[in-house]
Amino acid sequence: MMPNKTALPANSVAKSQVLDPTKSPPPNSGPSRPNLTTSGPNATPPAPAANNLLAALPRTKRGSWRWQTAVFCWLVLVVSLAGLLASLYVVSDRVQTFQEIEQVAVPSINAANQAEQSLSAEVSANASYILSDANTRQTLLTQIERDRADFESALETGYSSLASANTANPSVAAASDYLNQHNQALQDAFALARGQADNNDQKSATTTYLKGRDTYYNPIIYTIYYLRSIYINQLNQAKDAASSANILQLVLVILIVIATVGLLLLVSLWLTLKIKRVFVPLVNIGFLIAAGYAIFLVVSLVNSSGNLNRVVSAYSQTSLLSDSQRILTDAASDQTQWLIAKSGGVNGFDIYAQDFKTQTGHLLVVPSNPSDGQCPSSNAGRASYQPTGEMGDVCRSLLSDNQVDAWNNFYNAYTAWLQADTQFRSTANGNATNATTNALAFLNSSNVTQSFSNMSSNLNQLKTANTQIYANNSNDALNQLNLATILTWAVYPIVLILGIAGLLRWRREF
Amino acid sequence: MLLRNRFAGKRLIAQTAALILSLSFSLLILSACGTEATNSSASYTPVNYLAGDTPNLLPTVVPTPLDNTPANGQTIDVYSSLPLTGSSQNESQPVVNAINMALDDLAGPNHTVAGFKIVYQSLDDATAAAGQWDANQEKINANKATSDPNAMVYIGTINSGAAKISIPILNQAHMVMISPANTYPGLTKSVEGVTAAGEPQSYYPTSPHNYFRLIATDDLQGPADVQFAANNLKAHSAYVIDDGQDYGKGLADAFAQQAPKNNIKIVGRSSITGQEATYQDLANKIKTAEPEMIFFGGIAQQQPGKLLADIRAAGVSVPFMGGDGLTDQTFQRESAVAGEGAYASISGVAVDKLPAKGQSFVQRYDAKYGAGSYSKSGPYTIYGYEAMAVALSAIEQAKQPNRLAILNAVAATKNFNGVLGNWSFDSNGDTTLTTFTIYQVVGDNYQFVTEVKPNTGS
Repeated sequence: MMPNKTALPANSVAKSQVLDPTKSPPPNSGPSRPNLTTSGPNATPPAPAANNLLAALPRTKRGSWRWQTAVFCWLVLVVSLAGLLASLYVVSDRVQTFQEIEQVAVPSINAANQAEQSLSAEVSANASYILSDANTRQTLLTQIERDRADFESALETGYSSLASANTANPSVAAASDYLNQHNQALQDAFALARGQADNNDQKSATTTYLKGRDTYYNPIIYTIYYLRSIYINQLNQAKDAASSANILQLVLVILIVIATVGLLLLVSLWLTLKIKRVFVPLVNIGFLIAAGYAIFLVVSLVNSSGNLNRVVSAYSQTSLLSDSQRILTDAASDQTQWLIAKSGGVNGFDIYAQDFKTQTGHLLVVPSNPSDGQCPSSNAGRASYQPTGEMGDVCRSLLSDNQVDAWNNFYNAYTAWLQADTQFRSTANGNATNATTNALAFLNSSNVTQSFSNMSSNLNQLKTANTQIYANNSNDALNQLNLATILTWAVYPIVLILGIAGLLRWRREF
Repeated sequence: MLLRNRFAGKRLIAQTAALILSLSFSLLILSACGTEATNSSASYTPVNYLAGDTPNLLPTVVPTPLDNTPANGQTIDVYSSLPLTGSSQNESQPVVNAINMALDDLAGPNHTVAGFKIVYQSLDDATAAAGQWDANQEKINANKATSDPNAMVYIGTINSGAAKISIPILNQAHMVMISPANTYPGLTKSVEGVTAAGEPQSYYPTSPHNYFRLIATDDLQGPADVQFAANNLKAHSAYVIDDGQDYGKGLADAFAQQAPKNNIKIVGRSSITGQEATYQDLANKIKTAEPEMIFFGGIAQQQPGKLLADIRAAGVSVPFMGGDGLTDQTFQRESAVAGEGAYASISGVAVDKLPAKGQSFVQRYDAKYGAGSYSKSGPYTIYGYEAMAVALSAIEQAKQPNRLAILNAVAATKNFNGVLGNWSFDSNGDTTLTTFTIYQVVGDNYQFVTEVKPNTGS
């Protein structure tokens, strides 16, 4: 017997009674459905027009598109702001480095170099004073007073610039006290020596001058050297810091500009795909502006690194040249000191002849074949230049080919001066009654003074060239970086406006 | 029983008292002796030696002349070879002065000893061209002495490099050489890690050994400096620099070798030529290494002053120390304000710790050459006096103008009671005096800090 089929409950719907959407639903069949009609409150809206893309799209796609637009707008805003801040940071950091060099390091180094040269010139003039006649002494006294004033002025400038170097040990104050104490003692000794010379007490004048010079001069010079080294060191540290930061900053800038330009490119492509247009005016313009700015910024930063290296090299070389001038002056002083000690019967006067050789060795060691000492004209040649000494270092680090002539002119005058020194010694050691007078006259002769003058002139020429290199590179870098700053303030807001406006504008396109 | 107990009690008391007394005595002995490695700090006011301060010295002692038998017609020449030209002149000329003083004091006004007329000849081993000692000049000096049939003694040199030249020449002539200043160990002994292969045998082609010195060697100065660095400066790391010359490199090597044994790590090692325009690169390298102290082996003429100025300018404030090469005023004047606080070690004791004879010599030197002259004369002056004293004593003992006899008399010097104290030559020809004094630059002077007797055990 087959089981009875269970009858359907009263409210159930038979399979044959599945709802036909074109027909009214059966009673009690569930929630009612809207009755789609073409008029009345429940009328079905008409089919969308062909160009009403938004209305024609399904709700989900329409929401996604709007969401993407909003996201791109926010991205453009965020990237523009980030780009603005990052670019300003990098550029201002680089500008600050150059400004600190210009406002602090350069004046300090200049002041130290000036003080060094003024003092060495003053010492040399005092040495000449001992041996000179009354007329010449008056001229020398004027020179001494001028050198003294220059020295005091340079120190004052140096101290004010060094006030910020409060972490130095010994402190700037301690160095200042030390320098003043020895400077005063040196001045007292020189004043006493000049007075004794005026009273024709040559022996006492010689002893007083030599003792003062030997005891106090080097401590002053090397205290100035110490103070200058603080700032040269900071100059090199700034260069090293900039070099190490350069890579990071450059990467940061490149990432930011890639993000900005890339985002605008992405927006352009996205819009092109969506609205089927190749050219999206506002966004494309924004992209071109951003791309142009990015290239300019990267080039500016790379150039500024090169400028910074040349700035530091140029100023380090001015210190080498200043030391060279001081050594040259000291060597010339040694000639006079040797003569006054020898003529004054001072024991151990040969020490000044030896110091002359020590100083000239520090200045530049002339090869046995003097022509081998010329500074080569090529970079490669200069890099392998052998002779030692301060001027040897200068040759090896010359920054431009037109400085080579000045260096070689210095060298020619230097070798002539050394040859004249040999003649000077033999004159002083001669048996003539007026050997000392003759030797002094030889020292003051036009040949010897002209050689010395030529050397000083060429050193000044090299210093001027380096100062010009520094100024050119510093100005170039600052000009470019300042322009980068202005462009940064202008470009990113423009990019922001163009990007967002371009994104929103498409809605009115259709 | 009671009697036994009474005696036992008395014995116990006596034993206890003896124990207490012996302990007290032992403690007294120990406190007086100290340890082998001694760092004794001064308890008196530092003296500004270079300012010419005169410490409170013992009363002058009149030196006792040797046998001043009138000359029998025979002459004995004593040569010295020292750098008398150039920057070393300031410390060499006082040595010559001291040699002359010894001759006056011990050989009488006629300069005679044991019947021999003593003629002193001062030679210069430096040249104007070199500005310091010159190898060729030293060779000329040694040959001049050996070719003089009356020459019996050679006093010198100041520089160890110069001694390397003259020792073999004099050795072959059996002429004794007494140095007041050489400190390079390799001239008399082999020190692992410090001296070169073949030293010292390479300097003595014949026997007997003819070279003797009155000053302690760098293999002892290095450990002394290390002890000071570890115990006084409390340093645990050091950067070592040398000036590329024999003395400086030897001293730096000795310091670097001993340092790890005193828990001082060597964090860097560099060499300079003394001709550099600046030392900023080296200063920055030192700064990166972050040592707790810096040690310099070298002489003042190799620009350690300029080096220190650049180190301080780079912001490195750690203690800077060197050997006796830094006691030259050239270092003080070139380091200027940056040199404040630098340390230097010198072989020997401070002036006011010399024996009566030594203090007397200092006072008489100042009396003859001007107040404060001795303190400004450099570290080797008193050794010059002692060198001539040893030579004259040997001539007195030998009683014959025979180089070998005088050489043997010098070699046999034991318990010599001289201006340096009581000392002997050991089997290597080195002095038994091994105390070093540490000075510190304060203002324009060197002030006494402490004495160090090196403990070279590991």
